[in-house]
Amino acid sequence: MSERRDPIAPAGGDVANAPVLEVRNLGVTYGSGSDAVVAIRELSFSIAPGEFVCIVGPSGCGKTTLLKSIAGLLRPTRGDAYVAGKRVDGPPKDLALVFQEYTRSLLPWLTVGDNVTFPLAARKVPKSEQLARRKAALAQVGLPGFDDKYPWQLSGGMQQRVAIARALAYEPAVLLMDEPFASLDAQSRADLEDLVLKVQRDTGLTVVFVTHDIDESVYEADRVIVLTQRPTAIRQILAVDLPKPRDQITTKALPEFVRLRTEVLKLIKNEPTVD
Amino acid sequence: MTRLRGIAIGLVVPIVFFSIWWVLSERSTSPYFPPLRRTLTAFVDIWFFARFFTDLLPSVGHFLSGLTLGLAAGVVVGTLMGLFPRFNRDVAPMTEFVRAIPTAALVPLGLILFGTGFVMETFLISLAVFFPILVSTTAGVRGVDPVYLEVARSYGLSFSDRLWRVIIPAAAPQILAGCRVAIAFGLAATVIANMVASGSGLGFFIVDAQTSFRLPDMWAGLIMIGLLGYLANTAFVVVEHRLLGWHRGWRGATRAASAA
Ligand SMILES: Nc1ncnc2c1ncn2[C@@H]1O[C@H](COP(=O)(O)OP(=O)(O)O)[C@@H](O)[C@H]1O
Ligand SMILES: [Mg+2]
Repeated sequence: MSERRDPIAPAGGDVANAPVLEVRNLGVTYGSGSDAVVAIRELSFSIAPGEFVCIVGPSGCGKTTLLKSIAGLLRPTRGDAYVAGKRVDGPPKDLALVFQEYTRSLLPWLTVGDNVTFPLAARKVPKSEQLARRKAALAQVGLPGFDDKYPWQLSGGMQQRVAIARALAYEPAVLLMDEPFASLDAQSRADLEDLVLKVQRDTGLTVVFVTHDIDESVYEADRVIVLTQRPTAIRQILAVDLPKPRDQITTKALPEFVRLRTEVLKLIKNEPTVD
Repeated sequence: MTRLRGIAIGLVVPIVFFSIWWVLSERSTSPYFPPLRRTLTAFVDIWFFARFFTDLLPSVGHFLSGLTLGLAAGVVVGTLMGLFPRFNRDVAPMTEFVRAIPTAALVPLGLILFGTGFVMETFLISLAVFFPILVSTTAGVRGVDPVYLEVARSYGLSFSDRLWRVIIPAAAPQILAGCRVAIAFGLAATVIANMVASGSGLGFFIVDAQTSFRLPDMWAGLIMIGLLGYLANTAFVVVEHRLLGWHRGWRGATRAASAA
């Protein structure tokens, strides 16, 4: 198995530390015959428990496609994904996905509280535990007491917080996030970036965070996976050794931060890099 | 508070309408347009006493049973058609064909199949109710936002959980819009079924009153039908208000967002 690993092993990845998420030779082709679109040519990487990995790539390169394959919503054409050692064949129990379209990913007929608990209700989690988890999750995302509001009464940033609370209440081992803050204003975006970092630090959750924002990827990540244009493959994987906890002002002023973001930018623009 | 005011405002128009009718008809000597006073006397005599059990109750009963049956069947078949495009493709040509036939034209068929009476009228009414609810349920189920379904699937909801927790609630606004049309169609079918094919009921009563020249009775019949339609619709609005409170708020919010 180890010889299939990527050149750069997961941060803190000793041999004993089995990956919680692994993608092996995964490829996705939409359609067939002359209409076939090769969205993902081939991807292989693995992620250790507790890692925060950002995936960056140009728009339309197949980032959503990749996440959907990992989340079991889409059967890859080639290769497989493994979550907690089990081959993905339908939505894994240990995984939650925060969607790009936050206004449409919350159910408008349910209150905030019920939006957080409906996956638990469907899983027959006892009522008292549902309530406890929902209370904790809403507090974690900074929305305590918002249970009885409806999602459409909230701002975009708050709606995405509810979607994150729903994912946290599900208590997954892996949290996938698909450009979660792409359509938010700068302030909400910065707040939510810090929120996700804090939640990750507090819970030790493994986070796979897709974005097309280079600063965001370097700011959040332990490692950044840079993808190529379609048909997509891995351009390069970069380790980010910026000190933690990170801070919007001081971290982004560090020479190392500037160096990394320039490098990611060059990789995406397909220019030769220094190293 | 605002609900009560809404109801009060809703009552103003009918009161004004009936007052004007009362005043204008008071001195009427035309046999066709009797004074409203006489019509209302007839109304009370007929619908509270003489014809309550023989005509009013059976009509209301047939209407309600046909409505229930037609709505249930329409929601079930419509959901199946919305869920399974292949089933939809196979069945839609037939439903489109039958839907195009006016209810009145189906009366002879109903008579042959079921004779006169409860079964035949229920059949006719439920058929009239079936198609509007079928069409709107199919559209509602097919139009469920695919993101809702992906969210539900990503959290491992079973098919039946997805159906009851996501698809039906998401389609509810359209299903209820179909209900509203179905209620009107059902009432029309009730009257038609009575008129053409039975010796009792509201529709029969109006025709009978007209042919035997009891015109205040005919007017009393018309007012009763109007009243039933009004009551059915009011009951519907109350239910809709309870079920779809979220929908008004959500629509308002999405409109505001897209306008901004
Ligand atoms: N259901 C689909 N059928 C056909 N092509 C698709 C489908 N979904 C996505 N694609 C195509 O696959 C490519 C990758 O899409 P996507 O994964 O959404 O990219 P990203 O999330 O990186 O912007 C795009 O070119 C898109 O047009
Ligand atoms: Mg995308």
